[in-house]
Amino acid sequence: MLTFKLLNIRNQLKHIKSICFFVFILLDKLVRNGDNLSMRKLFLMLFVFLIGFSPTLTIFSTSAETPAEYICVANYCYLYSSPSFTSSKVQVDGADVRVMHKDIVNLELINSEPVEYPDSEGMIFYKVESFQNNAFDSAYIFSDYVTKNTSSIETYPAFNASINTATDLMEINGETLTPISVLEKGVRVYLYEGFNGALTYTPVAVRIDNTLQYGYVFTDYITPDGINPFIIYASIIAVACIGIVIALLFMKNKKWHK
Amino acid sequence: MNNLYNIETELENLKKVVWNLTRNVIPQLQAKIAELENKTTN
Repeated sequence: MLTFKLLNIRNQLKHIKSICFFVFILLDKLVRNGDNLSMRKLFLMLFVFLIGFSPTLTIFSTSAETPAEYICVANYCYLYSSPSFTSSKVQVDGADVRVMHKDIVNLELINSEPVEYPDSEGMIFYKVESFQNNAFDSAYIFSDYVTKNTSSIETYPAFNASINTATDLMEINGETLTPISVLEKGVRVYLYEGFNGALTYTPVAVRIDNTLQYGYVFTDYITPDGINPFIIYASIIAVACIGIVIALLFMKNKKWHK
Repeated sequence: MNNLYNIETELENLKKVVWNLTRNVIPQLQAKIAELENKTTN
């Protein structure tokens, strides 16, 4: 907890320092343009405006910004030493740091939003400042694996697939699979890591007894939702019809003008 | 005119205070916090 506070103070000092430097430049301009009254007025106005309205200065009123907690939504994931899946995993006491489902991580924030670090392929990573009382200088987590820990965390995701054959929802522990519950045919599931038909198992989130459970299901037993071709044809026909109607109206108007 | 002179000196003083904050006070605080962080992590 003390580490969090120190991190907070350090971040705030950085902000205050940059603000002070900016204020110094403005003051310098104000003093130097002593002969030029209009310039002085302009800088004074700018100074007052910035002091009054700059959102960065709200730091003074909210001096102790509590770090927003982010929660892991994946079954588990690792922290990487740089924003890339190919970089080495962060270790503590010789073991890889593993963030489990619903574990809380504290991320680097600017204006209450996590700072995004894209890798070479455009995947977004967040910088983890601390996890389980360990502070990190360089630890990154894939952004899709975490979400803000708010009271609405229990809201269920939009389901994007169905189970086509009754099967087990399984948990992977290393190499072994253990069934955790039975999924009936037609149960709606959420594919939070996308769908790849080549994989044997697909990670899914499913609502069981009003709680969201995460696990793996045989890929063959999942039917992902697609866009119904009928909707595509119907929308094309609708757009074409609207185009024809507008064209006809336009032609009619032209005739009347003649 | 006297008032204007006062404002100018006040501005100069304020400038010095801000400069002192930027160059001395804040870096010193940052160093102390880094020291504390090292102590807590070790």
